[in-house]
Amino acid sequence: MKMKIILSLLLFCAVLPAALAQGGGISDLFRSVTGAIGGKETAAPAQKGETAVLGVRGMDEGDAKTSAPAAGDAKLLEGWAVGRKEAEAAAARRGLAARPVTYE
Amino acid sequence: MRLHLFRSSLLAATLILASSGIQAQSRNLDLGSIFDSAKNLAKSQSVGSMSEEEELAIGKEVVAATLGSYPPVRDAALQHRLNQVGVWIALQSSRPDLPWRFAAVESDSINAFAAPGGTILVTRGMLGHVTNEAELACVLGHEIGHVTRRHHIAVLQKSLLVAAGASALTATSKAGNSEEYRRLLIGESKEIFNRRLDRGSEREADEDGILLAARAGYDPAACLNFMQRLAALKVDTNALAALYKTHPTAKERVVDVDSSLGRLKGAAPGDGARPELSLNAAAAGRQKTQAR
Repeated sequence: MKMKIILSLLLFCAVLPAALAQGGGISDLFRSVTGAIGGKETAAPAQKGETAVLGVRGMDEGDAKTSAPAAGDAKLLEGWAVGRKEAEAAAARRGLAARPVTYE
Repeated sequence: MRLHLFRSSLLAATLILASSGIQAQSRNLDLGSIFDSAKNLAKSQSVGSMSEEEELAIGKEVVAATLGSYPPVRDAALQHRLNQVGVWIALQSSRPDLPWRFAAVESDSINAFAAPGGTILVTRGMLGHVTNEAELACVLGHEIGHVTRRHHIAVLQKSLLVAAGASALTATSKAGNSEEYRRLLIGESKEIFNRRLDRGSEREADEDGILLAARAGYDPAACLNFMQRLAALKVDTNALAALYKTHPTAKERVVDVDSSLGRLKGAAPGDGARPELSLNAAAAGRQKTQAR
């Protein structure tokens, strides 16, 4: 309990400047602190009229809420994977050759 | 002992930042610069320290979550071909040995995503807008750049350390509790991807896209052509909403890409291949777009 109080104070001090700098306000500040202590996710609520994205940039939060992780689909990606030799052979068939290019 | 010192220094830094932030607020000083300092501190202490294994584990879960909303296009031939092109470009990067995976996903948005660890997802809408393989190389090269430079990992770690005051958590992970650390990072990723990467990161990724396409034998000018075509689209097009939320506008990027092309050494604009795009989904995506 004592540790929890100390941790709360510490987190409060740590989060304050960031919250103020981001203009997130006191509610965001407490959300961060309580989330950190409770180990809960601290996703910010979507602002009105703004598309929130989740997981990967550009994803709509609404879509994400209604979906479950697709481990099966992720395995499909493994089946479509290509190794170095196959990629090199395919590039050669299309007349592509690697060349040294840099920026000045 | 080292762990103790690390934990102590982070704790001290956090407290200093916290107190300086309070003072700055009362004196009306620039809190933004203090916040930037904190971000830099987080970057210097965390980004390079994450192992590739941790990066892959985070990426795996992010990809599974993403595919739950945007399922992969069920066309094995297309996906296989996309991987042939993608891996060929990734081989020209600084991290050729990552387990690179590429997939087309069902979405009309014009967008592409990079997950930590080397998985790149391209929407069907994006495939409908690239007109040849060189342009696709630029798009994939841009996303590969985000992965090789660990842009998203850096943002995640900054967010954890700065916004959540997670100095103790970072130290905990160094003590071997990487599972807990990973769980926190994944949780945090749900919020952090809400924000666009900074302009500098996007510029770096655009530069990488041009460079990798050129190294792979493609005409680097295709990157400019593609960006110009995007810039010509109406900004309020639904298909562009997600792209512009997370990237600078195409008009801004046209300027940057043009400048980068001028600095290339070893391949001039116009020098390189522009093979026909042999992806069936590209044609399908184009038909869908034209029909709207």
